[in-house]
Amino acid sequence: MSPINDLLSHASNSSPWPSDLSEGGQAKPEWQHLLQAIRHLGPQELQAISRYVSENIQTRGLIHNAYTDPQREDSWRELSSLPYVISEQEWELIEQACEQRAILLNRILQDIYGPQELVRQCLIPPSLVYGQRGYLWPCHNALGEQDRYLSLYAMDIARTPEGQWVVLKDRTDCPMGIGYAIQNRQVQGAALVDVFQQMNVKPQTEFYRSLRAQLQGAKFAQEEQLDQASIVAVLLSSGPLDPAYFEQLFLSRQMGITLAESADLTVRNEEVFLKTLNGLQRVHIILRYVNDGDSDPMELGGVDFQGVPSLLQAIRQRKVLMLNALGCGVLESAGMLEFLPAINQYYFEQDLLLPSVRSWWCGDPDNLSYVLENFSRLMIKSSYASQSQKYWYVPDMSEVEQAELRQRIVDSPRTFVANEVIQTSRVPEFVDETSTRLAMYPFTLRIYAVARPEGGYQVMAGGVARISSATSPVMTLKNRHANKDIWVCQDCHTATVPNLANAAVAKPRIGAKFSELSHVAPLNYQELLRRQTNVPSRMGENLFWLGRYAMRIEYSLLLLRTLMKVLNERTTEQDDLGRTLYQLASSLGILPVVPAATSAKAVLPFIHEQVKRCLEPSSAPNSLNRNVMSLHHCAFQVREKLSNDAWWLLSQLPTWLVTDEHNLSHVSNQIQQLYSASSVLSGFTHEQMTRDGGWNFLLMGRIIEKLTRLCDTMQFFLHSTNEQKQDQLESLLQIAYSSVTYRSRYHREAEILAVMYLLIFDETNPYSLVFLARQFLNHSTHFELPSMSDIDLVEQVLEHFSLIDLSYFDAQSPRAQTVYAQLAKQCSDLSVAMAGFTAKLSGQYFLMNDRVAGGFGKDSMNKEYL
Amino acid sequence: MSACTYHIFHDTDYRYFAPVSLSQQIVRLTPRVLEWQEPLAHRMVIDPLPSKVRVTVDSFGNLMNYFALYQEHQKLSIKASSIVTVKHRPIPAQENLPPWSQTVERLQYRFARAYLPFDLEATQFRFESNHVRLSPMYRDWALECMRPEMNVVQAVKALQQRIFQEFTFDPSATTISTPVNEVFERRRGVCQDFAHFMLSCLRSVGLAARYVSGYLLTHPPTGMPRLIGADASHAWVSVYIPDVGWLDTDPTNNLFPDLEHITLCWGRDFSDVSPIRGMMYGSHDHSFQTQVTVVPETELDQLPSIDFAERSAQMQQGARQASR
Repeated sequence: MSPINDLLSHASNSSPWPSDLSEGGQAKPEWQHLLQAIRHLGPQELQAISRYVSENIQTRGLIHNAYTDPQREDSWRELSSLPYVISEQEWELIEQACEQRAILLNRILQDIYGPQELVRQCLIPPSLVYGQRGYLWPCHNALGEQDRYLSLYAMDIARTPEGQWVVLKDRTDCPMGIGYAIQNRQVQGAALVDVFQQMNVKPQTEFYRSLRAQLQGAKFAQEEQLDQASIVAVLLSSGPLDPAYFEQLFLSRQMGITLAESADLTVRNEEVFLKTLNGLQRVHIILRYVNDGDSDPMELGGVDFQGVPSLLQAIRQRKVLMLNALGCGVLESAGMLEFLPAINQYYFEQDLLLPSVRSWWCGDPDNLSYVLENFSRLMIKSSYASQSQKYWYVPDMSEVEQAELRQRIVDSPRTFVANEVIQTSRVPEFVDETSTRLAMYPFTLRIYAVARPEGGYQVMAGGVARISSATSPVMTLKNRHANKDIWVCQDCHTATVPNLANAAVAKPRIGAKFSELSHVAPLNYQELLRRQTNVPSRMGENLFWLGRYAMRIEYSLLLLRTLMKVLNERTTEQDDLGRTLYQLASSLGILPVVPAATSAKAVLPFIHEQVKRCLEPSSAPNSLNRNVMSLHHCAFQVREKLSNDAWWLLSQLPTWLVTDEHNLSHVSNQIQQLYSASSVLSGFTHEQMTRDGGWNFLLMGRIIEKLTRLCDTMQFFLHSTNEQKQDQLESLLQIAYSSVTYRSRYHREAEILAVMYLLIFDETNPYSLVFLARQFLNHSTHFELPSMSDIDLVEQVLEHFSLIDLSYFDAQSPRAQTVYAQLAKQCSDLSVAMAGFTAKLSGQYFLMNDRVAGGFGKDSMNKEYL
Repeated sequence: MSACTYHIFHDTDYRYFAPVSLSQQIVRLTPRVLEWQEPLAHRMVIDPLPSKVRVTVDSFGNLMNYFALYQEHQKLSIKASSIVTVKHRPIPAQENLPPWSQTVERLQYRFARAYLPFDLEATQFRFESNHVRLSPMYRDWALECMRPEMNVVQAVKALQQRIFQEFTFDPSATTISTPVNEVFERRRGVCQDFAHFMLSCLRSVGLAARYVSGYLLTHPPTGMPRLIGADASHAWVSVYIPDVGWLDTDPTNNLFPDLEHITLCWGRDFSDVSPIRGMMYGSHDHSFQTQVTVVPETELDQLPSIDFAERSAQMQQGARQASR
């Protein structure tokens, strides 16, 4: 058993203390303190801490991502129960080094996007600037030479077994993990609240204050002569498909700014606007979490023309401030590390406080020969900072692979960098989530800095420690083990640490209330009001369709359920009805149309076969499967508006679409499950959601869909023969979910007049046309549309309904046909009005959101020939 | 003849299948001012009238017209007209030029050296870009004709000639997104492809070379009148020679551009200088038509269109007012 576990198992204290946790032969007091506190916990208590941590990570929502492929491991997920502790003295050096580097990198950016003196003097090889895809030529001179490029910066550092800190990588584009740092502090600080207090952990208040100040943009407001209170900041997110989305969402909420995707922003007159349901709202500051190269498809190209067209033009005119500026990503190149010390000398006549990991850019002939000589013990990387951070750890490669790589380096030396592989120091960590056994694991730290408004950089007192479970010195996504919060301990002098034998260290309390995050200032009244207005248009559109798809699915399920019941009974009479209902379903696109060539005999088997397969993807335009997928997609786009319960249900829906058994009773069972789930979901979305602008769209979607479906069904009914009508009555009640009402009211078999009255005229039946049309009219007052023609049409229909006289109705008389025709006409008018209203609604509120037209974006010129 | 004046009409018309509610465009159709090229007048007419116009200079010194339309429209027309005088440019004297490998060496990075300003500017054009690839394959192919004892002019001429001889001009072979590797494989393409391929070769051997967009005067068959819109945009390559300047080379026509090439813009490749590049919201499809007419001033009166004569007159009047 390792000495660390001796500590925990109350065994002898004579085992040697791990050198990784020592300084000058002495045990580090902060580690002594932490481990000793842990020692007082039994296995159950330790597990309680671990459970507390993992449960909190789940419920805080940052980690829980129902959509992301579970196979795709998110390396930020796991939080250890133990923090990484470091003394304030040791921390000071890291802190200073981090600020020094941020200042240096910012200075370099000012030069390479301005006068390019560094390149001219060969302090940076041209290849590492001009040769990089990350160097954005259109951004050259886009800002002034004094402007700040780097507002957020992170560095990854490791510690050698000798205790030397080494910088592994600079992160200058949009450094990930600040959201996790906040979350980890909240959870881990609370998990071990007493230890946290005893160790006097340095608060992170200053960092968040500076970040907040950046987002408030006082300096920007002053320069552009804007009222500071009017400054609006958004977090520009890479969207829900990116695993980083949840961190972005969390961070935007913590910082109190709107989360926007590129499609939510538009540039008009060289100013940037957020498209909200209340119209365009000017945006001044963008906290950018989209790669710089994907920010403006007009000038920067980028992947699939993502980004905000003309954003760069707005930046040039100083109408918007980007944090970080576009183009910062270029400094993430591994090739840059080697040149930093000389540049720091050139600008500041100082040495770097922390060295970078030794690296050799192969574009230099001397470096190249060194790399080829020492090839077998190096790590090779691409010189170009790009999305694919490719590297090769030579000792792990086969001889053939090694020879191949050597050849590639010789062919194109400029594009490769070699790294020294360093041994890293290790820290104690539980072997797995449920274990109480500790082992030593290698780790790296990510340290964050944010620009201070008055100049310089504020370094976060802490950050994220990342533990690797690998034995190989290469840390990859696959072997990441867990993250830890970093505790900078202010007074953990040896003197104050109790002797190891002394059990005076109090037992930690688990999960007590924790209030370190005093940096979250309470909302003021103006902010309170502002919070209610910014619903992006994209959100409204997706909510509208969420409502429509949900109702469409409910309707399809009711129809399918009724049809299955009919088919199950298998009498001649019922077969005819089955055919009729199938025709209804296929006319609405729920099931495929019976091919014209099908012989009369083959129709029924065809119908049976199609109904058995109704859960599967099919050629029908409105198939259940397709609608469930569309619903899921819409819901995902408005993920942040839905509760976890609603999400859970939504993620279950597709599982009921899968079936191996093709028999009616099994499929009808699945349909029943789906129906229950979708009813519950309706309840969730209907009852739980905030009644804001978005809610109006959701409810409108539901009403329109319900009304449209009922109109279509009634039209089908009214156009069928008298005999068919009589047969359909019972089914019609089931499809319109009105059987119970009918039976409790009339206590008799379905009769045509009573059914028609209930489904069309009865204002107390929530499934009657008149009820729905009135609901539509009431709700339509929430929207301002350029034309009222559809609303007028609905009003006319209601008036016509009231004029149709049913007092002498006799289904047997020829006059009945006239009534049917009148009613069918009104149903058709209602459908037309719904389609028209939907089109106007989209035009007014969503069209700003229309996608960039395909094919046009790239190069509008076709090829021109000579 | 040591100079020639041209009137150039470059018209582009878009028709959208559904109304476009927002359109933002960047146009690079303004001829550059050069030692051997003097633009006398230039006029750009956009219909419908843009809501916002801004003229700026991009990082390569090209004039860039940025405009936006916020009102709904179903047609867009961009008419650029220019009057440009092109002067004779002699091929650089070759007596003092070193073997081309020395040119490469001079541009290479070496620790603790400093670049001269023009050399620094040229190094921008030594690397990969969107349409240009660097690889030993291109280097080896280029080295087969660029022999070590040649100076840079001779070497470029040899490469230009080899491309002209071994590649077939074939407008149906490629599109704008055809990668240069495929052009090399099939040995077919148009001026753009040849320019991108030549750039790949030149940069793979270490020289600095840029992409040039512009126009080429075409000659109607003998006895036939000049036709409106019969011309097209053209593209060629320019190579940097330290202490001398840039040498233009046209691999499509196997010549060093002189009096019949009019320069619009340059950049690392086509994507830096695409004449019209934009985004629009609304219509998912569109059709468009481009018409380019290049006329020597001396033949202006033979032009069968009144419209062009009028445009020339307007331009000249505008230029006179401006100079006054």
